[in-house]
Amino acid sequence: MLCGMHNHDLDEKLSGHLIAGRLNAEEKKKVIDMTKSLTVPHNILTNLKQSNKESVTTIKQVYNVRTRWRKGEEVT
Amino acid sequence: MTELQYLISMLVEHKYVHYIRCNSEETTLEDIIFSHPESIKLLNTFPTVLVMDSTYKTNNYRLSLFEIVGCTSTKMTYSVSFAFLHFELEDNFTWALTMVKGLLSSKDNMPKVIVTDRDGALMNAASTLFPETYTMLCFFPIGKNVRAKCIMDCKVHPKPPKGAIVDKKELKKNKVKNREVVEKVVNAWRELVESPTEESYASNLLKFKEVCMPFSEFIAYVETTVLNLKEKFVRAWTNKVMHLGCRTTNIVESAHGVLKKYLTSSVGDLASCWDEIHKMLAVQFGEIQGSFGRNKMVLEHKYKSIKMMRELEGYVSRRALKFIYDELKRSKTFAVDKEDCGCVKKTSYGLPCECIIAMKSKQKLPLVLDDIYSHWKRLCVQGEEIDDDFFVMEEWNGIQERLKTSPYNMKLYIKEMMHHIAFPETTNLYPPSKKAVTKGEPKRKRTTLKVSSTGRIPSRWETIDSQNPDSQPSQPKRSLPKRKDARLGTYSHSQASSSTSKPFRNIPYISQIPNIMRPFVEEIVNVKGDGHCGFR
Repeated sequence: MLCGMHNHDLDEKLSGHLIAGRLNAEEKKKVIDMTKSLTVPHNILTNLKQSNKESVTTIKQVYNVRTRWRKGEEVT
Repeated sequence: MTELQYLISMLVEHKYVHYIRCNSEETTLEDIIFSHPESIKLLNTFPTVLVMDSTYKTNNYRLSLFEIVGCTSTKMTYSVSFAFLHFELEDNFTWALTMVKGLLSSKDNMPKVIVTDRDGALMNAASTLFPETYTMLCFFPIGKNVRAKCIMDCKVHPKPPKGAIVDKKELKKNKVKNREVVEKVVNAWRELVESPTEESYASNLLKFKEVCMPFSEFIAYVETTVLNLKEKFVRAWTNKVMHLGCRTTNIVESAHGVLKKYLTSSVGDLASCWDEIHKMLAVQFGEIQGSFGRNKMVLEHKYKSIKMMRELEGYVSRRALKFIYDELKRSKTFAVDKEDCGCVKKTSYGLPCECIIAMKSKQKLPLVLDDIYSHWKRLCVQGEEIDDDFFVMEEWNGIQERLKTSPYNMKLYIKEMMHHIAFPETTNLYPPSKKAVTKGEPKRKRTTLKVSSTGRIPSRWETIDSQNPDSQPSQPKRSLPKRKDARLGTYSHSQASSSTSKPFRNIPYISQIPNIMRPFVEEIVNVKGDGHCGFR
């Protein structure tokens, strides 16, 4: 702490980081498809986590994709 | 594959720590407790506060689901373990808590505070198993129960005997008075519970007694059943322990709520319950990890200008930083003496309190990480699996020795026992039988009743509350004239009030008629509510 270094080890899981949890194109498509069939967000997240065990996606990212899609923005 | 075989094989596959208890004949399952490996790591990282509660209507067998949760440095709730208990007796709770105690890695990692509801069996089990832990009670239902008792008991004017002629006006007056009394008592109670020191508690107790002077029965109730446990929920005492802001069981109640959202029905079996719990935990751990990441990387602008806190950012959770920031602000506005401070933040949150901050800022010293309790500094899941110095060689040899010397029948028995250990998924256990109702007449099944709902049955105080709403004095139901336009009536309130301001004619219920039609109304008849609209 005194020398200005981190007082904790590097985290193995980068969850919460902007890039680590982002969804790839396939997953985004899945989110939108499921949204179209009226799946609630937490079930979408459960589905994503089941298909990808390493996933560090949080509910926020699912919300973001949905909002973008609903506003008509291009989701890539 | 039976249900329990599936459940156990899944528990084994996902490396859950699970313990099962069966009845004395070893045929039916009675209690089961399981925790996710990640939960155990979280428990060993954040053991300070544990909150426990049972919930019902989760499975077909009517086992109660006993849930234990804790809270992380980022103020998120994590589930420690789930237990399905056959009975809610002290024995069952003791068993479940012993298993939980085994999950804690070391002696100095014991929880500091356990928050429960007022359930005697659970309270006893917790205090015997965790003797050094402070067991606290949730103050919220206590307050509500006191209020409900007050509503029922503290009648200013007891009901007149039947047949006596009662002046209606007087009755109305009494009703209002009664409400005021309840309000007064509740306010006094709130002050009593929130009193910051023991001296102020004593004076508040006197005030409270003064308020409910006329109701000796009520005072006796409060003294014997509630205030004998005052150390467990009054602020004066709870401020002395490290409860990290968890004075109620609301975090476990919300965990129940989240779980029930996943469960959706109360008639699933244990395996389907586990499926949903597993799904929920995956999402929960993702969120907790995410919150750790955000707490490390995202820094708030408002702390940038504060020199004192420079060393803390990124190492301490943002929740703790906010607490410190608030204390800092307070220490600037009030001239703080050591006596006035109370040091609540120090004792119950483990954060520097006003007086420390004021002293440090006087000496121009920064706040250092040592001032902060380790709970707030942990922004990752610690805990390694303890696997070293584990030998079974002695037992192994012992078993082989016994197998050689035992008679044939004993060998069979030993084989069976070992088979259970080696292949747990081949269990012959049955799930508990559905509890049959043996008392009373069988209830008629109503089709409208939602049998599969997981919704909670309201507590007694909730029913009393709903009968005695506190916002408005309950008015006698107005008998509105039945007219077609009453149903259409979407005119705004402002219209109605504007017409009452210039009374058109002195007709009752005129305000119910749209403005435009009022000049043509000659008379309004308030018909009897017999369903015939006055035509008979």
